[in-house]
Amino acid sequence: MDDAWQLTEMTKIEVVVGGEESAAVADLFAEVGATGFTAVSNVSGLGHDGYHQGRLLFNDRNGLALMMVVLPSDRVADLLDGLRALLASRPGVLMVSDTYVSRPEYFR
Amino acid sequence: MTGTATAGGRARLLVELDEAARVIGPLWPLGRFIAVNPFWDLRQLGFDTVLSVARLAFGVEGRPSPEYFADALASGRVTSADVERAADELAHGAVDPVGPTVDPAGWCPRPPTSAVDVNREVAKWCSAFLSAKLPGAPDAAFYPSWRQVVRFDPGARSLLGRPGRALLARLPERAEDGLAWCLDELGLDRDQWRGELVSQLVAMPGWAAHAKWRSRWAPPGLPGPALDLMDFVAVRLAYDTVLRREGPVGSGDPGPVARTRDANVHDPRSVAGLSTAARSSLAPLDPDRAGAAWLLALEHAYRDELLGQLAATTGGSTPEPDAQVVCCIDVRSEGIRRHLESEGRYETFGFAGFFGLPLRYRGLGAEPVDLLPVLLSPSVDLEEHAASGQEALAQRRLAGVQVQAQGRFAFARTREHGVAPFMLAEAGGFVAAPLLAAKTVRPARFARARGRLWSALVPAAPTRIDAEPELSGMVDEEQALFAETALTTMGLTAGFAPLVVLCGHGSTTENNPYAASLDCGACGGNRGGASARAACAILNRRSVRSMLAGRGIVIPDGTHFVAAEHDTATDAVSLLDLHLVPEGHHEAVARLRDDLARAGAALARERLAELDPGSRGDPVESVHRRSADWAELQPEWGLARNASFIVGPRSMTMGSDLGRRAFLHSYDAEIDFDGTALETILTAPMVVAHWINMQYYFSTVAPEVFAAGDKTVHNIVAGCGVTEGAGGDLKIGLPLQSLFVGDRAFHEPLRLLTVVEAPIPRIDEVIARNPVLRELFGGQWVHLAARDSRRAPWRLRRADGSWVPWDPTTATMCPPPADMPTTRQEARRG
Repeated sequence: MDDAWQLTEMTKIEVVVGGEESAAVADLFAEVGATGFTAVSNVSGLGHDGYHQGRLLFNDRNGLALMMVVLPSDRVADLLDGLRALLASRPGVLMVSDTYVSRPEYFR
Repeated sequence: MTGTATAGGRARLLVELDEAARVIGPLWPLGRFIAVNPFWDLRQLGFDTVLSVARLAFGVEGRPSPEYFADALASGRVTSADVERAADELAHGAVDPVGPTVDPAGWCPRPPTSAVDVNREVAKWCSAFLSAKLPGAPDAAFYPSWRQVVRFDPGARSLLGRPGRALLARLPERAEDGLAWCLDELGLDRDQWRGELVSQLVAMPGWAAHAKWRSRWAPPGLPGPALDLMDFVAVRLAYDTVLRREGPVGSGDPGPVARTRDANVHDPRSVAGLSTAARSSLAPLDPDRAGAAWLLALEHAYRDELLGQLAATTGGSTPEPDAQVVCCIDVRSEGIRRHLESEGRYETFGFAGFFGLPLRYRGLGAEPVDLLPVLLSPSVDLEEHAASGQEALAQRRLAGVQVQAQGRFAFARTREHGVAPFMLAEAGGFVAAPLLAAKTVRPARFARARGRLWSALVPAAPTRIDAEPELSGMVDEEQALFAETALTTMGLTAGFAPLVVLCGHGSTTENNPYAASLDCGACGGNRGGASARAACAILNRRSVRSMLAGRGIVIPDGTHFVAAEHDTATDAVSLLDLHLVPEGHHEAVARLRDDLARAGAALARERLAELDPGSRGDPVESVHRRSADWAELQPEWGLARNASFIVGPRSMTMGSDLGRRAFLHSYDAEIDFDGTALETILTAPMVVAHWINMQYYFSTVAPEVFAAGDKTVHNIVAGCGVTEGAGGDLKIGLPLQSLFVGDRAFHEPLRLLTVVEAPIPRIDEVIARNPVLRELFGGQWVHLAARDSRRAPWRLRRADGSWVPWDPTTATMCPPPADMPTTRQEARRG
């Protein structure tokens, strides 16, 4: 990371959850004040409970979704609290990483 | 006062509410009623565990009663041998579901708070809010609107006293904050939040189900007041918290107590008429497991009968048929298909009634409506236009529709304002009274006369649904993809007849708030005619056909797709868009029409035997009268007695009378190389069939909570649900008259049996890559039987994924008592 790039550090949170949970996760993002998020639906993968097929032709709800949000670090604790509780009883994964953004005001 | 809830962030609170709400299933508004598995969001726990949760949370027994089992034994639907075998299977752990071991009490640690007074107050506000009567309507949220007006509410004062009511008015502004405040007031820590929220939800399962639908299933941006789940729980918990804090000022009535069956008095282990062997097999099981054994026995009895029937079916096919008819998988289609096949050279197929087209449809002069299963979001927009040269007639029709709509709007408005309703009744009574008398005494004739009047005001205009890319926004590639998917999934990719009929369905009934429950579930609780017309429009296009030919599906030029709609109340099948049928097909269409009329009449006779045993009148007239009669409580039986979902070619079942109990989905394993078609069928249409099966199941075995009560005392609330009598919680599930004849259950509560003709390794592969199928089959929600091919023996899938052979020699049925018909055939003969 080079200061000359003029980037601001923030936290990126990625969650892979069942499609049925994506609405709840979106609500969580909104609740902690995220200004937006990205969702990639119908992803496939392998989990502890077996393989998850990607796109189902006539069913939008039983696939898998990857949801990503970028937040200033001070809002992360609350969101993690909620996501931990969510993943305690549903299959899914949570990944938190540092990221750098060029327009910090966009995410505040 | 700040406690852990108010001090912390709200994210955790949202998740706990979401978790708690898993015990509630969504409730669609009446106009779009969908049968649901009320425990869909708890399916991961497995059927047996969910029944334990249901007992704790709702106080219901999730299995039929010992009296029901005794009756089934006496009437020969199940034998002692069946019960013995099922009990042995359970005792040896052969059918234990696979999944996490969960303590049901973790879901409902304390009995539901069911203060009748609180329920009444909250229900009052819910219906006022949805009727757009609260300030800020229709955009404001429920909790803030309520909070603004509750300070003036005499009801709140009499329940909570003036200080209590003042406290309500001082609650935090946001629903999340109000909820947090209440949880802290009650002194609950984080681990106890979910239990408290569950208690609030199960105290009012009807309104909770509506709120769940709104928050989790309704399309975003749906207009109208939105009763959000968070707001609903916040309001109810607010009343409850203040009541518990201040002490009751009102009647203090704790409400109805949990209705658990007294296991000592009615024990499924000691049902009269059981053989000694069966009794001793049941003895080591506790009453709950014994009930499970009985249910399994009933399900095995049906399975053995069905598999035996299928094994004996010589099948056959219809080479070079005059027409191919594709019907919805709905169980009622089995009837029309069977009768039509006996009328002439017709080959029939089963496919989900939306024909694979995720359609948002706009009829002429109408609002857009989503015609697809609720598991999908619409992605295609199509409109109805005047047929060429018919624009003037279409304009007249549109004008008539608008006049009629304005009249209805004015009438509705007048009913709401001040003394106007009284004046309306006075003035209108002179006209309304004779009309009402006519409608009551001669329903069918009245309906015909009304129909003629309607046609005069709103003339029928030939229209079309245009699928041209410029008009529809659906490019050729998309249309070809849709066509290929639909045809491949149902196994119709070659050997096209000159006429291919896509037949949707709907039901015409009068004065029936549950009308949508009789319409096509695959079309979101709407009639399926428009989907059929849209699909035909696409399949008739030359550019689509040439693209399909490039993919190996050659539809001859001489083949025309025509749409139809089966009215399941009258068994009239109407062919649609006849003005679009080319000249060369007119004769075939005329013959088809006649054959459909005869098939419909035969089916009406068959159904009338169940609806009105002993009836002597003309069946066709009788069903028309039932359809038009506003006092008719059982116009048709809908999907009652549904029991199985059969996936395979028609040759598997043709010639067999399946009693309108089977969902039939066409499938040809030989053209489905990678299992995609099988996967599509099992992960969508089968899920819809499972929902229907579970709705009928729970409404029948636990009607006090999961059925909607008596139709005669229903009141429609805010256009979205019914209450029994005036006020109180909404009702969920199906009305009693859809399930029972008097006290006797007409529907047989059995879990769905899926029967598949496909290579078993392919079935295993599809299950392995789809968690929803692992949950349904592994969790014992749906049974699965399969055979690799026509000649292969049937095998049954255990919950752990292993397959065992089906042994017909042990499938014995004692001959029933001589005077009691046990099958439909015998009932008809007798």
